[in-house]
Amino acid sequence: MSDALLTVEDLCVDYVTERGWLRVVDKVSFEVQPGEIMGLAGESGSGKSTIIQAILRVLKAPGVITGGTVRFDGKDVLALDKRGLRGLRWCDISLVCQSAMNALNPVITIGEQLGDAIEAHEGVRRSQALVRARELLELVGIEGSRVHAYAHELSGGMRQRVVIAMALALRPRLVLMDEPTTALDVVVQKEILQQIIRLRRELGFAVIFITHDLSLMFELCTHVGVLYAGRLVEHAPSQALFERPMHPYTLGLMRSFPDLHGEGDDLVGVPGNPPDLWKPPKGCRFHPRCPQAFADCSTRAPQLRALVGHRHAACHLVDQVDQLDQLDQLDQVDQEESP
Amino acid sequence: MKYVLRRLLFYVIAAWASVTLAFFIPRMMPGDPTSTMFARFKGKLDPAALDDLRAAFGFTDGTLLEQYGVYLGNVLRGELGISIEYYPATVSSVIGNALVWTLVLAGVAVVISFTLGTLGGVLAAWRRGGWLDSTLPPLFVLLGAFPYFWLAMALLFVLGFQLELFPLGHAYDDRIAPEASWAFFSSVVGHAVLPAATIVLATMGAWMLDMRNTMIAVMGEDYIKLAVAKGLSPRRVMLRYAARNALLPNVTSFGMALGFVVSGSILTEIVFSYPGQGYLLLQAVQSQDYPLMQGLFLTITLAVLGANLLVDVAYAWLDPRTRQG
Repeated sequence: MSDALLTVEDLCVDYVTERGWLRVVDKVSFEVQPGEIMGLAGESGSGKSTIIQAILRVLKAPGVITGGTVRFDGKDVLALDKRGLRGLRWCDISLVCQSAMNALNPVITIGEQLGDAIEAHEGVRRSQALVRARELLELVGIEGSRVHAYAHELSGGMRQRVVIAMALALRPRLVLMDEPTTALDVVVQKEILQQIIRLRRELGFAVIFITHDLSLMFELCTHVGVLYAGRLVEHAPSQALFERPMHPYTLGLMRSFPDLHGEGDDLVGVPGNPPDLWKPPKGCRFHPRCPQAFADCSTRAPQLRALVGHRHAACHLVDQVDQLDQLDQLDQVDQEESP
Repeated sequence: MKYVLRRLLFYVIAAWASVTLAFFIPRMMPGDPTSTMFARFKGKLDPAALDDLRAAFGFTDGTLLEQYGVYLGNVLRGELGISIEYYPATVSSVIGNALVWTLVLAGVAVVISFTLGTLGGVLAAWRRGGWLDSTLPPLFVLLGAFPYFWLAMALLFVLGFQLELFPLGHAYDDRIAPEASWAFFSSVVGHAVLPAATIVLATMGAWMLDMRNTMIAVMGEDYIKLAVAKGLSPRRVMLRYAARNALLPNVTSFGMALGFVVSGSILTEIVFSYPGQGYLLLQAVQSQDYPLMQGLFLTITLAVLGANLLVDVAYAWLDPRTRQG
């Protein structure tokens, strides 16, 4: 699959602290094809944001990339020098931050913030950059005259549109979206999502979309990766994942959200808390919270292995001979156990 | 516009309050300046002359309220009376002289200190943990922690007295006529360097540390991460995104510092016998020179108010969020 736009292989990120090195992303691998929307899901602290910050190499102070490779269109991102990195940033890969409230500089106009990336990369004059900024605003449905507005003069939804417009300024081939709708109310959330879908169809960029909301992810993404405690535990086409999650954690996550179409399943969630990464559980990191754990799980860590239909999962259960039957049974057991 | 008008009204009221306080506070102190003057002449002044003096200084036998009315009228006309200590010079001319020297010395020193300190703080925060960050802020905070008069006297002793690199005091060489000549100008600068340096050394650490800390807080914001991800030049991210935002809280403290410049750096002016406001204030208090004291308090409060007004305007310009207020 050498035609992948982005290839992440065995990516490791550590936080360097006084207590030592803390591995927060552990050998994560995935690919993003041109034009596809790839989702990354997981609880807070599972390493989702850290991964996309590592891809753009904008990790904050204690975070250090300690292993693996990131290839964008054949380029080795982790080997780029400062110049190469600045060329990669925004021209090839751009970023949409989680909180639109803090993603804009409060003391300069949004026009200047939209324009300065264009100025920096294409060396055009400010007046030209401002004209482009107007077009970008209109692209996301904001009047071009608002280029002179400051962030505090816009509503939360408008700010997030501005941030999305900013990400598209240089027509990148990959846009990293870190929970772009989490801070917004449901109605605005819906509008923004539809806009993202429309823009992607028109402009053809690929997206890595981060959220902890799986139902949102199934609506939007072609592939979904599920992270637990810094490791990828399942990775599959979203339709297949939606119909039959292979990893008990994915199942738990799916049951943590009400079904959008109103089928009255009870919300079960995942009991317990994410592990302390300083002393992660032996074997499978999920086993203390896993309703289907058995003896092997606490001694041997399951590897992420390829299954039928381009699926991957890291669970001893799917290693069993008749995986599907097994899962069906376990599914029933699970439902009987839950209150 | 409405914002500016409302601020102006506030400043008018504050100015009136300070003018009133400047009138009443000295009159609550025991003693009376004409008696002091009378005592200074050791009985050689006859009582009729004493009454004339009283009349000249405005200590007429009216009620306090009447005196206040006369005083308020005088202030509005810019007449602050006649100084007792520098009799027969008027208070306005005495203060005018001292004010120039204070502005030259402390004003310039505070601006330099703020500029250098802020820049140092920006660079220290930008390369957090680097050599600049681990040397400059601790060094200047240490210098700022010394008792100021001790630092000033030590520098004066070593650099002025022993090495004779700098003059020991005063604002300029008496042998040079105060006129617009190169010799006079260089003499003024030469006399101001050492006292100004002590002020800069003593206050820069605070500016640096403040700026460094707000910078570090601002650098944690998402818009900084986004600016880096945008591939902007590090210089632009540092100045336009981080420093520009981190500067805001420091502008307020800078305005306060600027306002208090006019009260003179009393210790500096005493150590270096510099003829500024602070030195004058000390003398006015020592000789119970009421009109001069009133005049000084008035200029100080007006300067603080003026500096605050300046900060309000600067803030509206620097921070678009305050413009709607």
